Amino acid sequence: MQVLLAALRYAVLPALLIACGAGERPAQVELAPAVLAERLSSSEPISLGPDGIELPVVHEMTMVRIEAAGTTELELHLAVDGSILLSYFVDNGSGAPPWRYVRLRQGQSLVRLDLLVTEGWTPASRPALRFEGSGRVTLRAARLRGLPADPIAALDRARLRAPESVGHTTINALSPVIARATTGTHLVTLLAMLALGAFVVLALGLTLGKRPRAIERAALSAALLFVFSWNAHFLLVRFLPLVRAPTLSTETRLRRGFVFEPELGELTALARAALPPTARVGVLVPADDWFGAQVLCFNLAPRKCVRVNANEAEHQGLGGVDRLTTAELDALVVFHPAIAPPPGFDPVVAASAQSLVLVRK
Amino acid sequence: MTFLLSVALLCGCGVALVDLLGLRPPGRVGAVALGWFVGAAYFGLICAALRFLGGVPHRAPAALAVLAVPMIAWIATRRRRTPSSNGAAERWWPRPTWLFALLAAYVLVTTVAVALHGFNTPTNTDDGLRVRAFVPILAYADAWSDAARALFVMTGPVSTFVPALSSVLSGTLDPFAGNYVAIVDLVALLALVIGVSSARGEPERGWASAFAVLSLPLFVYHCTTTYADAAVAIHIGAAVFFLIELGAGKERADAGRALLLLGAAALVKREAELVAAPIALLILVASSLRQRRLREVGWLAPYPLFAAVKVAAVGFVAAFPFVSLFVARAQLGPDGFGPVPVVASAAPAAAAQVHASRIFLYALFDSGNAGVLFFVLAPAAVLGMATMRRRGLDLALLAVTLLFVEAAVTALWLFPQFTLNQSTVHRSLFPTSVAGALWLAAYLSAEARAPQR
Repeated sequence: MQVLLAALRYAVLPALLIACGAGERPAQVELAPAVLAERLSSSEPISLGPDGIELPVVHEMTMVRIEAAGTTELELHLAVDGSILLSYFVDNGSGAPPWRYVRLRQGQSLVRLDLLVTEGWTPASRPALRFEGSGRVTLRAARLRGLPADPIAALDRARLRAPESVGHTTINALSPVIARATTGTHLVTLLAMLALGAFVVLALGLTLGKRPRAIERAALSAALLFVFSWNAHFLLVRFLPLVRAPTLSTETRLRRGFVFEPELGELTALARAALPPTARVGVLVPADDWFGAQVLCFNLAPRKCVRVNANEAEHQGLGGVDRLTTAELDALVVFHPAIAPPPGFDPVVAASAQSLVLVRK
Repeated sequence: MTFLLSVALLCGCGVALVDLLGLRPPGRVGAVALGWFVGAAYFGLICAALRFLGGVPHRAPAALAVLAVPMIAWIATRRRRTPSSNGAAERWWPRPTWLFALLAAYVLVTTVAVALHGFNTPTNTDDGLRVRAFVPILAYADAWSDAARALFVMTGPVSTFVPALSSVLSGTLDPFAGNYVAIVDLVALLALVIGVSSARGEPERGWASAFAVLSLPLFVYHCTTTYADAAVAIHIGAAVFFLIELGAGKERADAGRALLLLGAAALVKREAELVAAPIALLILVASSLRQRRLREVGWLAPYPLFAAVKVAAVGFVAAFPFVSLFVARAQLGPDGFGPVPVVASAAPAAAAQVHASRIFLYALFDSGNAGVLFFVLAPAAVLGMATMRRRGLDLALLAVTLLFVEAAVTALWLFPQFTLNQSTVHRSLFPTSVAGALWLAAYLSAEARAPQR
């Protein structure tokens, strides 16, 4: 299965895309760390070390902007220490879906970011990077690819070839597939017009050829062409790249599955292993983190679990079902809390300095 | 492994039930697929009745006893009905081969992709924390406080007790069983349409139906999640499939099968009652006009039991929240915008209404969430008017139209705010889309088979 999926992802799909015409691309320009540091602004203090530019990453996020207008592709050589998610976009983008993100691997890695597929890209856009999690990233080298001869055609091609970017709002709507960036024409509308054209040509041909049921056959053929072309794009370009070989272990899936919050997945798996099924658990997360509290309590079931709020005597769990006071808690799972945990608990295991499991002394 | 065992038990229980009721469809594949839907609905409803009416704790012995009763009755009565296939010989190989090989390849690859993505939960397609995922955990823990009972009514007995079955049997909680059930629902729908159509000598229609259903991108994504919207659409779609069969005059039992599936849909999610009710009424009216009597009404008997369970769990008002919601909306008058509990829009009501209508059209066509369905369905419905009645597709098209009207009323009148922010408008179209896709596949297959002049 792994081999099949890998063949599909790395051979069949690229071959299809190349067959569709890749267009001419300008050569990459390499930026040494010292040069890159001059063109880089960050929300956190950065330092230039012997291995490259060092970025501390805190949960609230570290934002980085690179003064390189018109960049279409960014290749980064990174050394990563910690659980970190990299989201990339352009500085004039809306930040709206489709989000583009990469879960960074621990250790050294090379990531290639196609900025043409980010929302709001224009030839004047500059790359922006957002690092979330806990740890440190070292930018060892960067290569930039600039504007091609026909940037709009390149933009259209890139958008058409981009897989669906799955995020929190995918459940409500998929990202619209735009076939022509300049006019905002949707792919489905373009295909509908092509199908209509095919119908007219086929109907004329079959009628002139005095074939029986010419109109019905033309309509049927055009409808099939329409549906097939849409489905081929949906399946090959947007859906299949998301598919991974199955992972049987629930704990492993928890660690890998929360792509938006890799550190949270790690903490959840650790807490499940550390706490007995009878434990009464309180989770402590920042006030505006709706996701973290739900992930932790849901995945810690059947343990009783509540979200700890500083101002409440009795805390509530998912759907208001579980209700516990602080005195009744056997354990705390904290994830970048805004307030200090209540006294009387000792840490037993940690995913990072800010995400750990504590049990009552 | 325990999950596969629980699927097998539910299918076996369901096959026994449809056999006992004289509703076994032709072909083994179709029978097992219908058995899954009927078995799951029966299991969910009886477990809920035992828990909330009888006060019986939900444990493995009780669950196994509920599953065993139909199977024991089936063995005891040995009542096996020989299904009719309307005189058509069973045929599994569609023609022309080259065309249907493409369709079958798409169906198989997409289904495997859905299964892999859904099984690898948690994925970002689904945050894995929705009510539908949480309530089976409550069923496993058998912890039914007032707050938990309110969640049960929202979720429905099928979505509560069916995903919990494997955990109850193994004694180990799998928080992601809801995702696996969604995948089984989809596979069952595909097996139903291919199996029954092939057994009735029309494999082309079966494969075309499966292909059409999988041509709905957002629906396909939803089948990898724990959200109930796809499950509702799958149950409604299965019912409309039998309505298409009924219209084509295959078997009178198709009306019973459709009604049973609509009843099952009402057990999947609270809102599904409202979606299923007009279609059930349509079938009853059509049957009474044809036969001058209302024998089919008996197939809706499980619903009053479900209503009694809900009332026992949370009381009358909370059991039927839509009654008060409709009243509140109607009291706003023509200038009102959305129901009372939803935050009012800052824009004037008329302008917001126009904007909501535009977004509704965008949801149907340009968004691509429903694929190319409505581009093809709309002209097909208009152009096919002349031949539709002769081919028996008029009743099913009426059902699709009713579903569409319901979706439009919900999106534009009842909850226009959720249309403006595009939070529910796309997925509220699932029942219409799935039913419409099945109708379109039946219509195009009939057109392709039509004798040449």
